[in-house]
Amino acid sequence: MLAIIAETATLNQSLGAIPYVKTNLPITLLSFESTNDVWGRTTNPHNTKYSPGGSTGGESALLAFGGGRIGIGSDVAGSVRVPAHFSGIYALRCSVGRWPKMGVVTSMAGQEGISAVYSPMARTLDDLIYFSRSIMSMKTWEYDHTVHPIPWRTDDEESTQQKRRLRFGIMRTDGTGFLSRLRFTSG
Amino acid sequence: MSYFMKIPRPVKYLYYLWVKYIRRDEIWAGLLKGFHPKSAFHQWKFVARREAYKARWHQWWQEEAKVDFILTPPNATPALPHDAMKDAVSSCGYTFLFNLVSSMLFCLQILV
Repeated sequence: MLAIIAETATLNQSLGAIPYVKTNLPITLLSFESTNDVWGRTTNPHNTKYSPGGSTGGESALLAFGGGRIGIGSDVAGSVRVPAHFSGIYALRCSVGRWPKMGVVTSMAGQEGISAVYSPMARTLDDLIYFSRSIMSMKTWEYDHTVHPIPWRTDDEESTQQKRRLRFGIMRTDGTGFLSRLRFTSG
Repeated sequence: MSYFMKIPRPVKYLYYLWVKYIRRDEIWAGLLKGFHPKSAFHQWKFVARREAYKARWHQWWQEEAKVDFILTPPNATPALPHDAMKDAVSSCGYTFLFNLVSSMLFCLQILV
């Protein structure tokens, strides 16, 4: 994610993280590919003929490739979820007000029709939980006006884990695309 | 997309009517109808519609669906070959729903 991530970088450093790289992204950030005329094209680490996703494609490629463990992306139309999906890593798309936003420079300052969110990405599930829990436990709302004063909710986490049965809905179609059938054969 | 943005509005309106009533493609017609720059006033109207939609989504989740989680593919397509966004941009709408209603989402890997 290109940006001066003032608060988040400072916060991460105070937690012991060492920022060592900014990763590639597409021009305007509005694409599911990550290519530009300054730093070139990012390829998918599983198959270089394909895109790693976008706009946080550089990050997802780096994490999938093993060059990092945690990263932060921005999502206004799928830009954290699509790279996680294309590159094969774990990510959250936080709802508005959960992840620090202050100090980030964007390509569309003032755009509020669809709020951008910043969200964690990680190579493994354990890393994602550890990273998310760490940031959300840091009371970032004390200096970041964009964050709601909601800490990591351990009680919700425990009560969900203790539930004997969880109810899942499956979204089979959005009206234009449909889920393909995944067949499982036994034996 | 830039081609459709550039078409003069009266021509675009006729094309929209044809798509909606002759081709019967409501989704493409709906997109075409909005493919032009908007004033801040119009943007406010869209924000009001967004909030109404969020309220409906929330109500549906709480009162009808009553699910703990919804499972869904993260995107309409798997990883795209390079430069495919030129064509695949029309599939972008898949992820937009959850930005509109501002849900918390989680992408996970299932190893089969």
